[in-house]
Amino acid sequence: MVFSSFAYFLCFLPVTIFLYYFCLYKKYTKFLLFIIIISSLFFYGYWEPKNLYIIISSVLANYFFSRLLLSQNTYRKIIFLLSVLFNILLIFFYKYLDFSISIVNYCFNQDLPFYHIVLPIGISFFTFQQIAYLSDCYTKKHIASDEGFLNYCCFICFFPQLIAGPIVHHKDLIPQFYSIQNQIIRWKNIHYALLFFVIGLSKKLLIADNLSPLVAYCFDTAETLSFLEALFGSLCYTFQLYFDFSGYSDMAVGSALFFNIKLPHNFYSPYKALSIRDFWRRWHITLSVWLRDYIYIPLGGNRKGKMRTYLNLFITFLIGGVWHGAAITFVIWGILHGLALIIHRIWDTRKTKPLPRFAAWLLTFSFINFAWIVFRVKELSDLGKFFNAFTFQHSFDFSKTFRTTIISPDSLFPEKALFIVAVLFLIVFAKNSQELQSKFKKTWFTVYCAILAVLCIFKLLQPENTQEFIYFQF
Amino acid sequence: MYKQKIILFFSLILFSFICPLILSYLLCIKYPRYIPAEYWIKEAITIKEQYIKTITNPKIIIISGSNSLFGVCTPLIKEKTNKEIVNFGLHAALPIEVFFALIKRNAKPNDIILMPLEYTYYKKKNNITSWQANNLTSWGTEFIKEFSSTQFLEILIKSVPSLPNRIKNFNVDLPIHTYEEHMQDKNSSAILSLSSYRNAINNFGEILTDNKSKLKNDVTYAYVNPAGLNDFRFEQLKDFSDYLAKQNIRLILTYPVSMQISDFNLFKKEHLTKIEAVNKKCEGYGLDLIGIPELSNFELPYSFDTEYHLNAEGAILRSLYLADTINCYLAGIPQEIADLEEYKNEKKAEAKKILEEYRKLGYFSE
Repeated sequence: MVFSSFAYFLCFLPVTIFLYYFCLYKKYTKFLLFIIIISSLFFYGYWEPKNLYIIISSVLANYFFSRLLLSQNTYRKIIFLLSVLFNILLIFFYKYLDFSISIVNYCFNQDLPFYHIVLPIGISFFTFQQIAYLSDCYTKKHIASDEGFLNYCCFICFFPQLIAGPIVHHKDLIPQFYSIQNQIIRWKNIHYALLFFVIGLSKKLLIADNLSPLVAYCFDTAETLSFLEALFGSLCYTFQLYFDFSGYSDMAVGSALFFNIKLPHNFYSPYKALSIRDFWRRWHITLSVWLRDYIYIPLGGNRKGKMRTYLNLFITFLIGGVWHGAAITFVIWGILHGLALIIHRIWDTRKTKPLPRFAAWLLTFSFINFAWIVFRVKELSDLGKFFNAFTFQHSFDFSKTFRTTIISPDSLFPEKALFIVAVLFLIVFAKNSQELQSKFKKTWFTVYCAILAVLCIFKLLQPENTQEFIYFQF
Repeated sequence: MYKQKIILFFSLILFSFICPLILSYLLCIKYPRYIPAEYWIKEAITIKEQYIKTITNPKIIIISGSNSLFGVCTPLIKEKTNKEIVNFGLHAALPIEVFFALIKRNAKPNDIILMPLEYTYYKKKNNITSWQANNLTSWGTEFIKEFSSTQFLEILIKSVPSLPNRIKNFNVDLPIHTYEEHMQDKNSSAILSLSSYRNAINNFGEILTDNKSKLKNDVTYAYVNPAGLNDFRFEQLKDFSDYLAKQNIRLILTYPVSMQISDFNLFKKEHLTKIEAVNKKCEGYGLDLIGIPELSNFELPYSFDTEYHLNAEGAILRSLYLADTINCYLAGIPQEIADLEEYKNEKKAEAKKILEEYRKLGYFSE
């Protein structure tokens, strides 16, 4: 059940909210955590009931490890390493086993069989969250004394962030579950929750889903793309990925707010970034914070000299790329971003005159746009096809087929090209959902969101046009 | 303050959702306004129903999508079976409920309904497409009462995007003609506006084009996916069959036209297994499915322009096969052919002869 489905926002979410508020109203505060846990497990099991074993086992095992780390004074390092190894093996088995086999087959000319294990949804997210928790248990940082098993379960399983993040830090989330201030009905939070949810839903349905067929067409016909067609396709994917993921994140934030839980936002107008460093402070913020705190800083960060800093950056983003998926393209994407950050650091240390804003934005955006092509292609050979298009191996302009099929299939009016331009303006000039929050108090904004909600409902009522969330594959 | 905003939010949603539905009901169902749609289907129905009125004896109504429209030669089957035949082949995108409505309206006791349903009908889910909503609310509002209340709501909702066009064309008349108007001035008929089939629909309401195939040799079509068969459809057919049986009307299914292509050649066992899934479902639900599946699978030279359309020679050949199938069914004997290849060759030769005769009679239009 995805956030953008009737089953979620007409059945599951209202029922869960009703039960939660019923308990709040009747002051059955002891049941609140049970409602969250049971509804979250139901939400997760709805995708594939067999995966419940994985998440329950993971939660139980990691909670056990965390208690050992907090209570034991001896062998703590061994326990910590074992616990991390457990999580890495879990994610390796489900996500990277076939990829590793393919590498072994390629490097050693073998023909080992693949296992075709189905990836349990959300495993990357809840595994990373638990590794962070175990690390803090080992260093005894940020751990409160009265967290308890139920609070820990809620932290991992809380359904708004279970499937595709944000990767929430336990110190930010767990206290909210037992805070007495959250155990009252807050109309302000309900209001904000509705508006965030609608904004996220409209990003997904009205923008991302409309871009999806254009992206599919361009990437499926990469062999014959002209320069402009390749650019058009790459821009469509760049926008689709942002609106899809940020739409999901807004819906997650909105869903959580119904329960008075504040989740961190994952995006802050990333395509307005003026440098690659700036980009990673705006894109998938919770992942980059996790990578910084649990990979980059433990490796030494920038405290061990220039070369070590560059190496640490490289390793961090290599891991970031690998986290996204078991394919060489994700590894290359991670390496590209790592190299870009290194180059940015070198440029920064030279203390040269900064680039004009527009030039900085164009350079950053162009790099990000190009890197997303690497992220999206299924095979390396497809990357070569795009390279050919960008180096004018084929023509420059749109072909007649492309014009009639994609840009303006029904008329001479290039509505799809104008749609892309409009989306570009939206990304560069419009306010993001956090910036819009101040407008939430105004009545006209409520009216605007109601209209968006109706448009989304009508869009949903044509199921042939809706798409799955992209980040679910991670 | 926030409570009031939440109430405002939900009130606006409700209002904004209900208003277009009311407008949709008024302009699409109660007083349908013009939008471009396939009005020729309505006129084809008019012609066919007019023909049915002239028949008093028990008849066989062949009804399905366009594989019958392009693949049945009524006078030939009538000659070979000595039964009155009505070809109600229409459009495979129509909901099956339209076929049910037409059968209810035109079938009488002792009639036989023969449905060579396109394979898409067995795998479709039951929701209404935009095409269906637009067409039903243009020329087919009379059929909407056959649909469930959920489907009715779907039709209303799917018609909402057409509202601006309907308002723009508020004063435009719907291009639907009665039979008398059609006969008085055939040039104004919506049927003749079909660009590909101008003048091709004969007085039996079928299209027989004496043309070569437009399909390429490497064409592929996904006819049947055994895993994608929809139980709901078979239940629906069974319920309808039982309903007709109470009025002494028999419903039988047969195989639709398909093209012999690389991944759908029913003379190969591995492809025939795809049809077996359909056979099993029909058997499981107690539905009569007659005919020899191999004989519904035609070589490309007999095709016309789509995966379900035959040209005139193909239609004549198919009609010869159908006639034998119907005769066996009427006689209550299973259709068994010892040497399928020999049988096919015989029928192909006969079809060629009949084609020449019909050409001389001027039976085909350009």
